[in-house]
Formats: sequence, structure tokens, C-alpha cells
Amino acid sequence: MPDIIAAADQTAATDLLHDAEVTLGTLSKSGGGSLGPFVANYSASVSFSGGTIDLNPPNVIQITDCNINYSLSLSFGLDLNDFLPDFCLPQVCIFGWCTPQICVTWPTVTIPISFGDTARMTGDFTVNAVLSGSEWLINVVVDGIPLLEFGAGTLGLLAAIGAAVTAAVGWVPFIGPFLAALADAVLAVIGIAGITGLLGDILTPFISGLTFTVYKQPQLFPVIPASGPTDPVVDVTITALGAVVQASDKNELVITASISG
Amino acid sequence: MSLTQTHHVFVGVEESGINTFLHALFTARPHYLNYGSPFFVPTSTVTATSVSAIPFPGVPGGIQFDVSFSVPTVNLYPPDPGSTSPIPPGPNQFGLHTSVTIVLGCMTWGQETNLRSTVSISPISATLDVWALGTPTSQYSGPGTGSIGLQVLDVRIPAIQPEKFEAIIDCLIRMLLNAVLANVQLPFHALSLGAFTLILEAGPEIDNHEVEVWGSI
Amino acid sequence: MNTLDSRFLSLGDCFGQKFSKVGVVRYFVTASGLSPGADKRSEGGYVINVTDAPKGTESQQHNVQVIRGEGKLAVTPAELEIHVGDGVMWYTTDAKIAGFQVAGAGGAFGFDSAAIRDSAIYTHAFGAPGVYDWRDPNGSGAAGSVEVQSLTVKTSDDRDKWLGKLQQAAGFQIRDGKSSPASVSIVTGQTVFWSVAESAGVAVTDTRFLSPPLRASK
Repeated sequence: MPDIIAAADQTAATDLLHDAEVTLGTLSKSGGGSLGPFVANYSASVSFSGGTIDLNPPNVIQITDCNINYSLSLSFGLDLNDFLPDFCLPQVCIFGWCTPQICVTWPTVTIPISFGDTARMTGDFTVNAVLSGSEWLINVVVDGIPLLEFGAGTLGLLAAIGAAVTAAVGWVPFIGPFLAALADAVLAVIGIAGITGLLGDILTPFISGLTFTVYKQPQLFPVIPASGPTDPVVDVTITALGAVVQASDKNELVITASISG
Repeated sequence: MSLTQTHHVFVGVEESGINTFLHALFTARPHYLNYGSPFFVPTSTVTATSVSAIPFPGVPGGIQFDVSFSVPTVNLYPPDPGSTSPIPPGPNQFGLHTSVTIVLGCMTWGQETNLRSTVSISPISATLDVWALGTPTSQYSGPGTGSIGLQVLDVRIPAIQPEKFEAIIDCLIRMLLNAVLANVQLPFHALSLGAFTLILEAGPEIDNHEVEVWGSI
Repeated sequence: MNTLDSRFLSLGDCFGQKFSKVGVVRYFVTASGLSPGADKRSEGGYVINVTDAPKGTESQQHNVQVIRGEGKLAVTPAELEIHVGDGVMWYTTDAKIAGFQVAGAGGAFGFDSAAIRDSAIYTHAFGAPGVYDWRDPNGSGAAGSVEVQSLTVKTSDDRDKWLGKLQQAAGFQIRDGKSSPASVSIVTGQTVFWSVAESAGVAVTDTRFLSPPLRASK
């Protein structure tokens, strides 16, 4: 028989999730991935917000439309020779002089892109209570890989890449007449599939094993803080903690605890 | 029936949990249970609280005394089947059991031939079994902050005769016990062991051997 | 970079010099103008042997390509046999050569791409649209403006038209501190010539890379 029973309905559990999202803060990772035919290096920061909870007994919490707020710094190398035609300055004569024909070798340009947007995730999570060191945790842990929705962010990133290409190659001499065609060609080879593939590669490590901690307290729990030399802290020991999704006339997240003095 | 009913969160603390909280509180701060005049407790410490002697004209330094309670245990409604309490708890009530030890500094005084006064104190004590009845209270100091306390309504000390003298002692002990239990204030966040910042909407109520509160977060 | 500055020749630039006297001219190609002047050197560099032209021979132009050698700039061909009246034109096709200067001397003759004096040419192919005001940083007073118009190539027809435009020449003539015409208008990629004669040593530089001219104090 537990000493304490605490229950939260779906509304309160959603609030607990939102608090846990704030506590989780911003996560960062860097790595490489495919951007269509290119290899992109990236550093990404991700935070989570929003979403609604459905409590499904016996032990599943479904989170719907949780926002994945991401910001990316990515870059890829673009060998302009792959996209631009061979180009030679023709021989020109005047004043008794003729310039030689000079052929231009297009350079390889690094395209830097900064982009941020919000994707959405829907997936099933499992709730479990664990004693980690001297702290009790109730974790809501993702099962498998949730469904990701990128929404308008895909087109946004595509547009950002187009703008970045135009900006990054502007310095290349004689490229001006080819600029519009170059951007179009680069975007065409990347395509929507390239964007979603890269975003998937970038965001999946953040949501694989994603854990929201909805409860975190020391095993030696302070009931009343110290308030003077003759009033030391009063604490109890949490000897056992459990968390389950329980069904009745409305589904609830139920936390049980046993304590000792 | 859901635990949260028409509210969003629910916390229920079982009788055993309340007794664990009480044990932890009075073990950490035993001076809430032990009081004595300067002859018995010269200064307040974490163990005991020093109080003034009872002044009485002609008694040198006043009447010296000491009062100590054992760590109380509560019995939440409905009453435990084996309870021998003369005042079992009704709905939304708790029964409380403790013992009180009253020590009197029994004093004799006089004058010697060289006009020096002499005082001698011989402590005499008695321990009484105390049964009490009370209701939970709540103090609400803002959204998410507040506490739950215990208020004693009645006390029985069956061992005392005659009946009228028992009424006097019962009243005295009720006053002392309420003073002691005024220190029992369990913060809302502690009831749920920190799981919620509870905004109290209903309760505290005593039922099913537990203290129950409802609210939102 | 595609900077309009005859003191630092790069991809898209040419410098040409005509040789009017018989003799051996020793010249140097350096990455900056900080090396000793060519007329102070008696060894190293590259040699141009100028001989009399047989009667009836038309003057010729010899092109010399500047390349990156082992740790320094080099030229190909490294030696030239030319006739009086011939011209030599230096250029590069290497975009990684940030800027080079050609300077040489022999007998009573000398030349320097950073201070062009006589019978010489500087060319620059404009890689980006805009208005380029230029002047002589050496103070001769020669100045002018080049308007480079943008255009977009989307079809092969557009491309052919553009390449046709690139073959059209445009140029300035600088003589004794004066330049004409005042301005020329071209499209992106087109080449502009600066023909220099009878000058004290001029250069052609985009005014954006120059500090403002000093004003005389009153």
C-alpha cells in the first residue's frame, strides 16, 4: 500500500509535459548528412514545446503535435564546374593588340546556410519511474521514432539554400549571367526529397530515445526547509516510486510513493 | 470513479504517510514536543523549548514544570477496527494518540537561623495516555503555495478521576496539544512529494484512511 | 578576385608591352610590387632577346602565360626571341594567382605594369555588373568610368548573343595624363583595353580601392 497517491488527468499531464519540455532546454548536435547529391555538415539546436497528451492505459502516453523548434547552421561544397558550362573569355582585338582566349575554371564554393523553423512530432511514449543515483525520476520515453511533419519548413529551407547559393557565389567573376540558372539547377538536384532527407537525418538523433522528465526529486525529500538553528530541515526518504496510466471514467497518470521517516 | 474527479490533479496521503511526516517532523525538531521552565530547560535547544515558570505570589521563582509529549500518531476516518480510542473519528476527522508526561518541580522553602533563605525542588511526574479528535485545516497563501494542518477539537484522558477534574486536565491538554500541532504544517508540494505545484480547489478531506486534496497545477 | 587594378594583374587581366630597341631585356614577375625594381637587377628573371626585324616583316604579338611554379610565379615560355616592334602580352588563366606585376629593363629601356609608360596596353575583363570609376593612382590625372550592365543567360540563344557581345572591344587611350573617352559601356564579361602612350608611368585602378585625393590646403 503506497503512502501517497498523486493523479493527473490529461490536462494536468499536458502541463507537466510542457514543464518538462522547458526543463529539457535546448539540445545541440553536429554532424554530416546528405543534401541531395551534396554532403552537408551541420550543427543543429533543438528545443521542444507544445503538444497535447492522450493517456492510454496501461502505460502509454501519446504526444500529438509536439513542436520541434530547430535552428541549423549547415554548409556544403558546391563545385561550380558541375553546374556551369565551360566558359572562355574570347579573343578581343583593338589598338593593335589581341587578348588571348582565357578559359575560366569555375571554383568550388562553400555554401553556408542558417535556417530555423518548427517541425511537429507525434508518437507514443512510455512512462516509467527510476531511481537514478540519489534522485527519483519519472521519465516519459519515446517508443521508436515518432512521426515527423516538416510543413512549410521544407520549402523555407529550399528557398534559404537558393538565396545562400546566390550570395555565396556572387564574388565569382563572370558568374553573373549564369546566377539565376545556377540557383535553379542546384535546387532542382536537391529537391524536396533532399531537404526532407537531410532534415530527417538531422532531427532523428534528437528524437530517438527522447526522454521528458516529468518528475525529478531527491530520494531524501525535504518536506520542510530549515528555518533556524533549532529548526533543521525535515525530510523523508522516498523508498519506492511508481507511475502508471490508469483508466476509470477518465484516464489519469497516477504516481504512487512509499516513504519512511 | 477517477481520482481527480472534476479536478485536474488529486493527492491522497495515507494514514501511514501522515504518521511518517509527523515522525519525521518531531524527530528532526523534538523541541516542538518538549517544554520546560528554566529549572528543567534553561535555554531553548533543538531538543526542548524553554518557557517561563508559572508565577505565583510567595512561590520563589514561580512554579517550575516540564511537559513532554510522545510523537503522536493519527488514525484517519474511518476508525481502525482495533482502536481503543474513547473518541473515534467521524467523517472528515482524525483521531490522535499520544502520551504526555507532566513533571512538577515540587518545591519547599524556608529561612535558616542566619536569615539565609533555602529552596529545594523535588521533581514529581506522571505520564498520561491521551486520545484526541480533530479535523484537518488548510492555509492557502497563494496559487500553488499553502499547507495542511491539524486542529484538535476534543481530548480524553480516561485515567483521571474524578470526572470534573478530568475535564480540567482534558481542556489543559487540548490547549497544549493544539499549540504543539500548530507546528504541523505540511506544504502542498510536499504532499505530492514535489510532483505538482498544487492550486487547491477542494479539500483537505479525510476519507478512506487518507487526507485528500484536489486542485489544478 | 576580379579587381580593376593594373598593379595587381589577375585572371581576366593582360598587360602588353611593345619593344622598340634592340637588346636583351631582363624582366621579373612578382606577386607584389615590393621586390627590387627590375632595373636594379642584373641576374635572374626572364630574358627577352630583341633583334632587328627583317625588312618587310610585320610586327607580331607574343603571349606569355604566368603560372604558379615551385613556391613562386613562373612564366611560359620562359625565353623569348622577338623583333623590334613586336609586342609581348602577359596573362594568367589561374584564378588562384591573387595578383602579379611584370617589370623589366635592358639598356636604356624599361617597363613596369604598375607604372605603364609607352606603347603598352592593359586589359581587364569585367566579371560583375556595376559602375567602375577608375583613375591613375600615380597621379597623372587620367581617369574614366566603365558601366558594366548585367544580363541573364537562360537559353542557348541568350548565351550565343552574350558571347558575341564579349568579342566586341571597348577601350580608353591614355596619353600624357589625359584619357579618352570619358566612359565606356559594356556587358558583364566584356574586356576593356587601356592603351598607354607617352606617359610618366600610369596605372589603372578602381577608385574604391584608393584613398581620396588630397585637397590642397587654403
